[in-house]
Amino acid sequence: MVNSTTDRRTFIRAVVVTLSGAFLLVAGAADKIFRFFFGPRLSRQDESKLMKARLQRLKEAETQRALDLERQESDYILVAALSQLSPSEGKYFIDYEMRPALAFLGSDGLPNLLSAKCTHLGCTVGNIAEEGKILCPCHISYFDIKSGQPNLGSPAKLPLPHVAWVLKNRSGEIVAMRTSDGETHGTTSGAALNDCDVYISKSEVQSLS
Amino acid sequence: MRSPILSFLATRVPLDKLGVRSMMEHKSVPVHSLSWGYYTGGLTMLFLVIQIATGLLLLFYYQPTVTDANLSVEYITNNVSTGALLRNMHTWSSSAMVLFALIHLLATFAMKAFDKPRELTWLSGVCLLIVTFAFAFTGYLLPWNQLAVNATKVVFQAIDAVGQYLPGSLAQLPHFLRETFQGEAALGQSTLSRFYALHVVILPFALTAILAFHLIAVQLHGMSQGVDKPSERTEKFVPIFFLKDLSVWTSAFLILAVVSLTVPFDSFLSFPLLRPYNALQATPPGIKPEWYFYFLYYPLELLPFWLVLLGTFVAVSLLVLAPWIFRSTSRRTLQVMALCASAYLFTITVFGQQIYDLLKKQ
Repeated sequence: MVNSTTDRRTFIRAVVVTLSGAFLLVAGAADKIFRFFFGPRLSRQDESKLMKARLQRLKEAETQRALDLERQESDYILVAALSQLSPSEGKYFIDYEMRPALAFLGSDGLPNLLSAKCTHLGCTVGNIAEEGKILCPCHISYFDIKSGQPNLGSPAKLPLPHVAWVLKNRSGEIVAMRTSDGETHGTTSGAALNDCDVYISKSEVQSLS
Repeated sequence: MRSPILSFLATRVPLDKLGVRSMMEHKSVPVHSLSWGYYTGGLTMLFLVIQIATGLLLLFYYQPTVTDANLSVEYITNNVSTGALLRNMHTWSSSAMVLFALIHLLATFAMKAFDKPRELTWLSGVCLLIVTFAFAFTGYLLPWNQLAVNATKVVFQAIDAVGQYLPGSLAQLPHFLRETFQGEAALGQSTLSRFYALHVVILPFALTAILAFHLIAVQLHGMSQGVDKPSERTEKFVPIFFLKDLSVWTSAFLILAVVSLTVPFDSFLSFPLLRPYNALQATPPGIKPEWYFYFLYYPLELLPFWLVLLGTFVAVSLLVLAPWIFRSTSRRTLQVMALCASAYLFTITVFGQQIYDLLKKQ
């Protein structure tokens, strides 16, 4: 037989427990929601840290925008001083199509510029040349920096294209140049190269000035 | 006399049956060995609702600019109250949504739920799956870290590569599409703005419209019988099945909450992948898409591009034309096909890396 008193008591207990649980849940959620919309209140130290990080990102964006503008307006873009280039550690730069590229010092003492956009799926290849090869870490392709060719069996099938360059002395005269088909013209050795800077040009330079 | 197109539509979209009361009174769910399949659509929708709720909250703090996107994501994670939990829920729930959308597709395929008069319901479901993948792809870029930008670059390059297999002027189409989505010479602010607009405005509109059609079509036609021999047992949708649905949703939500509270989604990724994107740095090793793209990613790594492209074209065509191609195929055959597809998806998703290592060593 059903005991109506016990039954009522059980029901009331269940209601109280359920309502208490619901109240705690709503209070907890409301607290979180309120704090979420109110927003964090950072300490001065954390606020400064955040502002510095924002400033740093803005500077990086400014550099990127300056690169964009430079590619719009300039016929030549400075890559690096020839003396700064290394045969084993490439210097990243951005070409006229805003693609990453690398500048090495070739075994002939002249610049060796090649695209850093992997010909497999477009990742940016690494800039450290070990035994004359650079690695695309995305899907493991090794590229010979001299020929641009990928290793046998690598996912990349096409070579990294070479980028044409010109060498200018301090007076702005073109001392040497290499066309995109790999031909080199001008002074390719000697003291004349000591103070030269490496540039890429918007349209391919056909002859020395 | 009605034109053939009008009578086709009148059978598939019987608007005269549109009445909430009659649907509530008459809608019933067959009970049989594949009845679990009826829960998968509801679960997909639950995770969609969670995506919308958490996504709306993340909008309060996310800043879609190349300078601030990554920083704002860090700010949400480290400083905003429950920010880390919201991000975690958004990401885990996106995985769950894709998972259940795939299970729903395979289950409805196995149950031949695309059979007349439900062809348009099936087609809208296939569209919803594509939109879901588009959501996942566009959302992946928004944190603007090394992983996000480089993975997007890889997809763009793959889109570009499709052009070489297309005839005549069509060959330019993938390149044109890539440039349209990229917006500028390299991945930058224009790309981020486009992906953001797609992720938070355009795709939600598209999803809402297609989902509304899908749900109305499901209500109008009722649940498909699912098995060859119609089940004698059924249960009323309201309230029996609806209450069961609610209990399944509650359990799923609790599991998601526990996982989101305890397992940060990025704990499986190495730190260099999560650093802010820098165009003048080598791509860090380990660039991979999310797990739900592995079914395409590993074949791309292992097989010739043209073969993967052909396979994708055939698979998408089969999905779109399933109501007509498999019109007279038995449910038993469809179940075997769905099982094979599930086995492939499971194996390539869970053991893809091992298979890749094994084949590459040979």
